[in-house]
Amino acid sequence: MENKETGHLESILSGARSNAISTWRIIRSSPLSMFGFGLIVLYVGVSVAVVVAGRYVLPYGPLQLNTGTPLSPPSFSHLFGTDNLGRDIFSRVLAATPLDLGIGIGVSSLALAVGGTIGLVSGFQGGLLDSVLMRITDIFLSIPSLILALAVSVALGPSVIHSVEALSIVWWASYARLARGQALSIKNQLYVVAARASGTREHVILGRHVFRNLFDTLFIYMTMDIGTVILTFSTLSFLGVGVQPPTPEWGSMVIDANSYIATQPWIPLIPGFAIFFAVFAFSLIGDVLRDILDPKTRKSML
Amino acid sequence: MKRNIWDLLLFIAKRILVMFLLVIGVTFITFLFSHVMAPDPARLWAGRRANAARVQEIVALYHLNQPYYIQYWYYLKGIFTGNLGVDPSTGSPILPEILQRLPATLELVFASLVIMVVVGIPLGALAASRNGKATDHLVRGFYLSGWATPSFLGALVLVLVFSYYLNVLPVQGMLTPGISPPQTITGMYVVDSLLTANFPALYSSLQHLILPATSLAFLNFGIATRMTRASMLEVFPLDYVKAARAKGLSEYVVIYKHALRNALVSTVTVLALLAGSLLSGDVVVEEIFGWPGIGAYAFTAVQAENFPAIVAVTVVFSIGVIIANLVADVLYAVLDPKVEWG
Repeated sequence: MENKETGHLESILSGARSNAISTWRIIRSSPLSMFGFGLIVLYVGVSVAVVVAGRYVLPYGPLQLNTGTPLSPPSFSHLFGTDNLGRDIFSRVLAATPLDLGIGIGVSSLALAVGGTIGLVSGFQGGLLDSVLMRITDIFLSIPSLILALAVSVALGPSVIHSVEALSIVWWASYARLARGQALSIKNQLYVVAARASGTREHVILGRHVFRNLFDTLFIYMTMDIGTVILTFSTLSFLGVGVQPPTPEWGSMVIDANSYIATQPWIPLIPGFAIFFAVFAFSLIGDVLRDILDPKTRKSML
Repeated sequence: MKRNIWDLLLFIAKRILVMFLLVIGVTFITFLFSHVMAPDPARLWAGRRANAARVQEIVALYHLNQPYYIQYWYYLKGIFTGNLGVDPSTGSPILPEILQRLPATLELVFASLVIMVVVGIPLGALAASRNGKATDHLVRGFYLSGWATPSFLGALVLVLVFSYYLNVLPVQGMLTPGISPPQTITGMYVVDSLLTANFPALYSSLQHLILPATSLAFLNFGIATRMTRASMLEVFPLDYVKAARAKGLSEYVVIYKHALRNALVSTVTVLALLAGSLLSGDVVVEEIFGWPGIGAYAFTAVQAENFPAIVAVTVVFSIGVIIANLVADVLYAVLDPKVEWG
């Protein structure tokens, strides 16, 4: 009985590593991760719709003033109400989706590519190169990421591009650390030793054996991390160095309406919850996938 | 097994050396973006409203017209001699401003660590003991929502509920106006009022501490919970837990006395590693609750274009993270009997 279950799980696990269908089976098995998956589909759908057909999707222009009485509560003509300038909050929250989501996915993919390469080379090569790269990584990991991104954004001057640059400078380090650890353990696996013994060239081993195995782990980490990038980016805007008004962005919408928290709480809360659900969705999926790939928790699932 | 006290001291000394090298590395990074990458460093350090004469003064003060390696030497020397630059609008030095606010920030960060330990760890143990059941999913949903909450949203919701709707807790500052602060010993109001047995100040400062500390803890306790859950699941199948069950001990004793105690070693060290994300959240939480610490100072510095202060806070917070990591390493070496000190 126990063997049968173990075998079943092993097959799910090897499936998760090789194809998307099994990953889908795992996501479907937990209601929380289904919820997360649904949310991601919704956010991506809204982003695509806004980019492709913004004028037809949004009820009002996101920058249009006095679409209704300023500070009016949610109603049928203004689903999320209006802000102090009479702008439609529903249109603004939707219009901000491609920006926040795009930056989340963009910065974390870049971090995966840069950090992943650094960690892979570092772990596989070893020696002096490894020590130097890892000490640099340690230094970056010692600086609180929000504070560093904040300081770099201020140094470069407040704008969206500069805050994306600031985030990219900060973000790669944890990927490098993770990739190095993985590369070190994969390097000594039997199948790598066997490949080398059979005369496979080093760069083929690196690409075919080490990289492929490492990518899954990094990708799952990235899934959770997209949300963290969105959080940090919107916090930068909240602090006034990211997106500049009147461009709609969730974090800056919250700070703009900060003073209405007691009287018209929906104005700051709705964009805040737009961030919350985006981050929550990516974290849910990442958390479930991580439980499956992490050998420590995987053992306990048997 | 080598566990000689001298080996431990040698281990700590080595870690302290690494710590100094890391601090130098951090200053190199802050130097890079504040002097080399910045499009106009003189303008940044002098402030946007400075006139040409003032900019010249600032260039001379920070040696900005020298080659980069000389600039870096002066910058590094400044940091190690306690000169972190001057506020562009007032001309007063930055370091005293930061030191004066340090106790308030430490009090807030330690208080949220206490909340994370008291709430986060038992929740992780609970989730592990109900692995895969509804309680486990609930706990997971709870800690993930903490993780997913933007710091400003969490703080705003707490302000809204506890202060405007329920009107039970204060939301600004560290003390009720009219109550005089306790005699300064550590600078942390709760500790000082406890030491001097000043109960009105203790009551008021605790009241003011609850909301900011809770929102800072809520954002971060997921990691404590997750880590406790994972390490509990690791020890459950071990022989000593089975033996405890076989002896007929109650499930409560098995889980909380036997399994949790061992699982705690890795969790406690992870708590210290949270310093970075705690300090990031601290900037926003302090601002929203009007907490007079370093985070609110950084927030004001961004609004006032006080660049030297932002760079200084980056360095000071990084040193905080590096010290927390050192403490974590040493704690782990002491707490885990399997670690050799030699």
